[in-house]
This record gives sequence, C-alpha cells and structure tokens, in this order.
Amino acid sequence: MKKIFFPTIVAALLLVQSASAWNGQVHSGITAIAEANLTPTAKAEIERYLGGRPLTYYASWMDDISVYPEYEACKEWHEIAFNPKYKILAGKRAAKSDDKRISKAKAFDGLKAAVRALENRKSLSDSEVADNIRFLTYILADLHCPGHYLYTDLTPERQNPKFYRDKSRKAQEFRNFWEGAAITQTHNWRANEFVHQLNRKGAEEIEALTSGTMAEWVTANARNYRFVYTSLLNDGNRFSNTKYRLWLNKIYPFAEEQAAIAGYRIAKVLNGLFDGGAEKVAVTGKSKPAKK
Amino acid sequence: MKRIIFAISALAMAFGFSLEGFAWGRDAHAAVAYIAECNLTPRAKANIEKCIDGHSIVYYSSWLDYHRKEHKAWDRRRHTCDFDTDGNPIGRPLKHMHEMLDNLSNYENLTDSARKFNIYALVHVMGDYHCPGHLEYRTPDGKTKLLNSFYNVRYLKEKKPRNYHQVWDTMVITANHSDWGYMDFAHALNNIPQSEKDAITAGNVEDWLRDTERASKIIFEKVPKPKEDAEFDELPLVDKQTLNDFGDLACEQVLKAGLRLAKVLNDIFDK
Amino acid sequence: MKKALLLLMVCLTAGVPKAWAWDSRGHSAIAYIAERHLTPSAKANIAKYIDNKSIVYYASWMDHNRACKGYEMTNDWHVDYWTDKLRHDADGNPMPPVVTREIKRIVEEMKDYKNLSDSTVNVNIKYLTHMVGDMHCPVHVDFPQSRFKVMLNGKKYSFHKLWDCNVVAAKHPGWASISFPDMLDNKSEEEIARIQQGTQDDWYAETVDAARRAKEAIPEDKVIDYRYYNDVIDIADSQILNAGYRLAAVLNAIFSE
Repeated sequence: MKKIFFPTIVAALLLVQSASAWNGQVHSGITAIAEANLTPTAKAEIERYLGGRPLTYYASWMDDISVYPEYEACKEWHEIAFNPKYKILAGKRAAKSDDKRISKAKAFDGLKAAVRALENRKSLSDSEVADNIRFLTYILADLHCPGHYLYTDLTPERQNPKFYRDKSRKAQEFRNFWEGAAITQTHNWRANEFVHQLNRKGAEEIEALTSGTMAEWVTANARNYRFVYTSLLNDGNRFSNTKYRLWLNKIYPFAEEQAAIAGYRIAKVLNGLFDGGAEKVAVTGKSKPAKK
Repeated sequence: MKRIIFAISALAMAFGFSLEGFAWGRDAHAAVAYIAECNLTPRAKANIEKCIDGHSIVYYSSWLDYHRKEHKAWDRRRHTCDFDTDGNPIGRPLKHMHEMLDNLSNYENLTDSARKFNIYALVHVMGDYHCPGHLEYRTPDGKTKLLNSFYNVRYLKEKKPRNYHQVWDTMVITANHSDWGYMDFAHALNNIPQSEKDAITAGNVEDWLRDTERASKIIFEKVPKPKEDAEFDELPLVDKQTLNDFGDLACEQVLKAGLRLAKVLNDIFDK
Repeated sequence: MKKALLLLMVCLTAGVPKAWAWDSRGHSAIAYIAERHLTPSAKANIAKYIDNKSIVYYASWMDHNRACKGYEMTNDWHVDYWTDKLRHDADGNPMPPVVTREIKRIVEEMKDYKNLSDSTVNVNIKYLTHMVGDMHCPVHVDFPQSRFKVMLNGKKYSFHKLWDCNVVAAKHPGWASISFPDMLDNKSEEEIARIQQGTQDDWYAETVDAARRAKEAIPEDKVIDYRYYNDVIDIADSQILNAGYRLAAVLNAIFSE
C-alpha cells in the first residue's frame, strides 16, 4: 500500500504534464477565452453538437483520444514547420524530412482538414462535426505555442535545447518548458481565471489581431516566434535560480499574449463557421486588407 | 516511509515551489488581490486598471516576488512585519507602507512607472503584512530581533525537522484547499455581510497591523520556539489539528487583507 | 496502515499545491453544484450556521478532521465498510452501509434543527456536504472489493487511489473547482427533479452500479492505459453532478422555508 502511493502521484503529475503541446491547464485557459468570445448563436450551435457541454470541457480532448488507432492521425497535428523563406511546409513535404520532429509537423494540414469538414458539415454526422470542432480548437491553440514552431534551417538540438536549473543534474527540455511552465510557473491560473486575466482587449485590437487568413496568422507567428530558439539560450545552458527567473520574466508576458490571441482567433474561426452573421476566416489565399 | 515522505516533499519542491520560498504562496496573494478587486467600487477599479495597462490587480499580486531582481529598490518592501513586544507595529515595514500610501494618494502626479510600482507593491505587501508567518518581534528601536518563525518544528509525522516559517510559507494555506484557484477563495470567503466587512476595515493601517498581531501571535503560543539545542523529540509539533486551525486563521487573514486592500485603494482611486 | 495512508494524504495535500483529487476537488465541485440549486431561503439559513462562508469552504472538512481529536468516530463514515468484519451484525444479518446510515441519522436529527445547538447544526452541515459526495464516489461503496491493483503505463496502482486521485484530475486539468458547475451542470429542470427523486438507498444502489461499471471497464489482466480514463470519465462526471443535485435536495428539504 505504501509503495503504491508515491508512484501514483508521480504518475498523476506526469500524466497531466506529459500531454504534448500546451498542457491541459493552458489549453483549458485558451479555450475558455475562445468560449467567452463566441457569439450567442455560435455558442448555442456548438454546444448542441457537443451534447450540451461547453467548448472548454473538451479543451484537451484531442490529446485524450490520440491513444485510439482510428484517431492516430492527430498525433501529428501538434507542430508546424517552415522553410527559411517562412513558407509552411505542407504535410507531404514535411513527411520526407530527415528531422523526426519536422516529419510529423502536420498541424496545418489537420487544421485545414477540420475547417473543410466543418464548412461541409451538412454531409457529416453530428459526432463527426463534434470531432472537428474539437480538433480545430485544439490545433489552433497549439499553433500559438512558440515551442511548436520548427524551422528547416535549424538543427533538432537547436530547436529543443536542454537546460539545467541551479545544481540539478536533470536536464529540462525546452519543449516541455513551453508546454506550460512558460506561463504557469508565474501565473497558476485555472480556466476561468485565464478569462478574467487575459480577455481584456478592446474590439479594435481584437479586430486587428484576428484579421487575415489562418495561413497569414501562422506565418506571422513563425517570424515572431523564431527568437525563442536563437536569442535566449544554448544547449546545455545552466541557469542559476535567479537567472532562470530573469529569463522567465521575459517569457511569460509573451506566452500569455499568445494564449490570448489564440483564444480570440479560435472564437473568430468558430463564429465564422457557426454563425451566419459573422465574418468567415479563410484558411489560405489572399485576405482583404485590414480595415483602418 | 521516511524515504517516501522525503521523495514527496522533493517532488513538491520540484513542481510547486521550484523558484523561491515566498511568504504567502502566489495563490494566496492572488486570492487577497481578487477579494480586494471584488470589493472595489467600479470607479476605483477603472482608475486603477488605467494605471496598470488594463490588467487586473490580481495579475500583479506576486510581481514583487518575481521581479525583485530587476527592481532591487522594491525588494526591500517584501518584508517581515515588525512589532514591539506590546504588539505595536514598528520600524521599516510600517514606514514603507505609509510611503506607498502617501505616494499613491498623489498618484496623478507620479510618473507612469512609479504609479505602477507603487500599486504592484501595495497589492503584494498588504498580503504579506497579514501573513502570520511574517510576524517578527523586535526591540522598540527595531534593531534587535527577539522572535520570528525561523525555527525548527516537527511537522505531522515527518522524521526530520522542518523550518516553521516554511510550514507557513507553503503548507498552511494549501493544506486544506489544494484545489482552489483565487476565484474559489473569494467565493468561499467574501460572502460576509457588509457590517462585518465594515468592522474589518475600520481604523487605520496601525490598527490593522495590531489586529494581525493579535490574531496571529497564537502561532507562537501553539507551537512555541524550542531552546537552541533541542533534540528532534523536544521540538514542538505541528499536528493535523493545528494545521486545520492555522488553515482557518490563514483564510481569515486572506479575507482581511483583501478587504483592507480594497479600502485603501477605494480611498485613493474612487475620486 | 490506515494511519500511514492518512498521513501520506496529509503530506500530499499539504506539499503539492496542485494535488488534484476526487477528495478535495471533487468535493468542492459537488458543493458548488449543490449551492447553485439551493433555494434562497435554504442558502440564507445555512449561511447563518456556517459564519456566512460557502458550503464549498467545508466540502472536505471531514477529511481534514477525521484524524483529529473528538472526530475519531467519523473516520469510518466515508465509505460503506472498512473491513469485512463489520459487514454483518451479531446475528449474521447484513449491516446497512455506514455512509447512508449516518446520512439518514443526521437528516432525521436535522428535521428539528431549530432546536439543536448552533454547533450541532454547523457540524451536521459539514457532515452532509461531505458524505453525500462520498456516497456517490464509486470506490467508496463496496470498499473491500475495490482493494485490488491495476497496472497503468507499467506501474501498479490501487483501484481505489486511481479513482480518488486520478480520474477527474487527469481528465480535467486546469479547472478551478468553481468551473465545475459551468462545465457539468447542464440538465433541464425536469431531469434535475428526476435525479433528486428517490431515497438515500436508491442513490446508494446507483453508486454501487457505477462502481460495477467502473470495475467492468478494467480488463481481466488488470492492465489499463489512458483509454480507461476516457471510458469512465462520464461515470465520474455524472456521479459528481448527481451528488451536487442531491446534496441540494437534502439541504433544501431541511432548510427551505
């Protein structure tokens, strides 16, 4: 009995922490922000497909079901890769890469498929529509996690540097850091608290952040996020606790901003799909110039 | 058994408290700030948020802990709460509190950053000054420490001594409410009638600090400081009952700190 | 052994700030849901007896005090039986489950709550808030049978702990307790009324059935993976939700005017 206890807790923590991408805590935060920005029509329509449950209930659903063979494809819908000219690497091209992570970086393909399915949802069953709502929500959240952007001109080590804290001999992975600690080591917010803290932008700012196509969003993100690999740390860095805190202080406001933007954009896409009166967001192609 | 406990506490350190040991944990500081926010007038809330980039005061409730290295001048404000042996507040902490309040009473004439930093610091320090683990008795001139919570105790059934201050830092508030976010704290505590709230916020800063001392000195009575060379078995024990009682005391202090923070902020910003 | 476990629980809840558990998290959730469905007069009457705190404040009070002086007798109230010995009385007749026996006793006593001392009413509110939750936790009924081990991702767990700590935590990371009503409380008035019908024995029988389903979802070889959580989370959610509705029903029946 004694022996079980410790592993239970370790595993409980690990189970929660090992989920790829933003961890569950951040995913529910982002999704709650999205939910708060749905139009009443879109919210009602979405909840009808989700069996009366709110969208936030399913924030980490894609993680939960990737263990089933029929959902295996979504294991590769977490990351996105870019060539040096900041063009999105299409799934088929990515698959040919020698870099293991890049070869599985097909999040944008997953997003495209989900949007297409929802645009043509008349031909789908209700449960298929529900699946695609949850895919879209999850993937678009992940596409605002800087640790999920890969660049073909950077080495795998450069894109997941290991670092050490204080005197610890255990290496920490940069990728894991981005999945949650980047935010939660400073602000231990729960879902509704993310909304209270981050859902504060005015209509104009939201409009500016959510204009354009999804391809434009992620391409801009790719340019924006690259600094996380190039300027802050090297493989094998050792941080004193003070240095770590100083570094974290530069990161967390940036990470929180990405979480908020993700929430607004998810809402915009879902509103466009489920509320006839709302503006639609295109996946690719040319967007209308942003309103001044 | 010992190994398990050790491992668990190591784990707790690794996951929860990996950065620095803080007075109240960040959840308690956030709870204080959120309770304050719930008791701000709409006008005060709007005015304050204008000063801090549209954020909630909750956002900055632990700013002083996290950003102390970049802002060393403000680091001194994170402090123990000093009293003479009659329970009167003395010394620098009191001075700093008045300094912040004076600065802010004139907030329209402060620079943007001074205005912000004073708000961040006040939001945090009002919490610190209500934390029983922060009590420190000194000689009236404030120079010599007489008693604080930095001594070893036995904690539940652990076989190794623990610092009493650490018990207050990390155990007490979360022991019984590990599942709570700051909104949960506010929901559970902030529902008292207005007359009780008024009683809690009556008086001035000195009165509030005296009240903290009165409510909190029990932590030295229930778990008294052992003599210097005490063996492990002679150390005072923090048992489950004590922990429960302290948990209730901590929640009361969080509520009081939140209401009093709202009081000073309303006084300054509702105009 | 019991003590060792308790102690460990204490250490865990004390040391790990994010210790997710059916115990504290699930109980808070149940109290939140119940609070939403209290009548205004019941809510106001209850508040008078618990210092104007929310019942959420006391949702896990029984867990925190079961090892404390004066409350030793409550240690067994959380589950149906602690040991096989207690299953039958001296004549060999099966004994009623401890948790429902105590709930019924308290409900009976509280019918006359205005003539009870304030402190009795206070502690009875704490008891009911917690035990109506416990009687809906699948591993708190049929306890001896839930004392087996499962293998999860190559590690051994007790089935009981899997449910007490892991299922809700793993499936709902990042929810504050205050989120639970928004997430789960979506039934219509008629459905709620239907759930609130029946006696404590009916509710208990339902939990036994939930426990059976929770156990049946485990394969013969007792090796499970994350899919198990997916399979049983609906059981956990609906037990939490039903417990909340029924706690409201119990408290309304006592305190509504």
